[in-house]
Amino acid sequence: MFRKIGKRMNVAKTVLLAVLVVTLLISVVSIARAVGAAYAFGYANWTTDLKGHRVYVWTGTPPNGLTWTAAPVAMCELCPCAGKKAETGWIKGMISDSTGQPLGDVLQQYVGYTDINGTWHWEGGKGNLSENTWYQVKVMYSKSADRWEAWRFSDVVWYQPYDLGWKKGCRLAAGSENNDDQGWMGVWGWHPEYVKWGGSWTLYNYTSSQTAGGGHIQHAYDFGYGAWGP
Amino acid sequence: MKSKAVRYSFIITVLVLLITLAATIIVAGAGRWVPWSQTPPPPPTPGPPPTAAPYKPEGGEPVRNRDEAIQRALLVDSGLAAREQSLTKEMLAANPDMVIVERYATRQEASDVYGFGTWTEPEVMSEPVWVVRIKGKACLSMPGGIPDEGSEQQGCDETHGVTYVISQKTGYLLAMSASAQTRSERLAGD
Repeated sequence: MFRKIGKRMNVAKTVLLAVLVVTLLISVVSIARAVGAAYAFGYANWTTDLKGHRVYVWTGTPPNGLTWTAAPVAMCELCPCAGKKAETGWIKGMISDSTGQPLGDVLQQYVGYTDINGTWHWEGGKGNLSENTWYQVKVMYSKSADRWEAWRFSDVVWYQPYDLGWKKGCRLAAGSENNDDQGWMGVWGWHPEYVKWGGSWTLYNYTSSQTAGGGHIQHAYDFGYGAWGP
Repeated sequence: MKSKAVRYSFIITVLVLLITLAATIIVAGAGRWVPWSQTPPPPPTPGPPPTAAPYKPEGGEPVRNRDEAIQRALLVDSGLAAREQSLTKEMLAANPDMVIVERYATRQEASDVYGFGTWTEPEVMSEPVWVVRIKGKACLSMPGGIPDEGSEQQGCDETHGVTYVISQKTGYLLAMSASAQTRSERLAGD
């Protein structure tokens, strides 16, 4: 009798231990997956004298409750993409856990840029964007105004009055980004165009890509991309 | 008798563990698994751009004083900054040099001091803001910032301080930078 109970207890202990180990493993994996960021950028290969980058980006219907997810249209100072950077696009999220919504969880245009000291700045524009809508956004150095600017369609929506220490870019990037390596991303981009100093706007297809976490990018349309994750 | 007790306790324990397991999976996956359509939307057609509604600071909760500004900043910080020790209100109260809080009558005034840019929509730049600067080592996962090409994925950027600009009317984060210095301090290399 006691032998039987002892045997059953051993089986129970083994099963309990197995369930516990599996639970712990899944918890650890879940936490590990949530750390880090995901992105999917298509890069273009031009090498000198870039002045601006513009793309139609589709806002879609980003879900509520994400920390943040974004659709950057960017320029990098150096090739490969490094050094100072400037970007604009849409962002949606909360930048916090479920206890608060410091970003309002609204779809808005943002800008991000490195200043002359190499410090990264982020600025939200707060709202005004609609879901399931194409917006042409642009980041550009304006020769006439002698400043970096962000545009939406034909309007300058933001500008930086201070010298950022660079006026010519070397690399273009556009796609999608978030804070969670398996988190949701979803951007369609159409008709990416670049302009060089002294040149005119030119359509391009991206020629290289960089992804991390659950990010994916693919060509779409004649000139465009779909960037998504996970 | 004993075997029955063992069986019941076994069943209860397994159930508790399964519930924990399910809760872990649900919490870890919350808000993420919304499918993304892989069918491209129709490209934009020529025509006037969508009308943009004028900016009105709405929603959220007003930030009425320094303490509330710190609380909002701590909320943002908890979502974006990894620190050796999580920041608390008590910790900042015990180390007053660690946090600087200022109120500006307009976002433009704060932008001028901290070197942020200007949104051309006047309503955006005219609202009152709180600026909360937090000194100390942190690893920030700020939105934006295309990663250097070819680099390993970086979870965050190490900084020695952070500045948050918070709307007084809504408590929402309006801007941030990976520095606790004003523009003139950064230029002077302090």
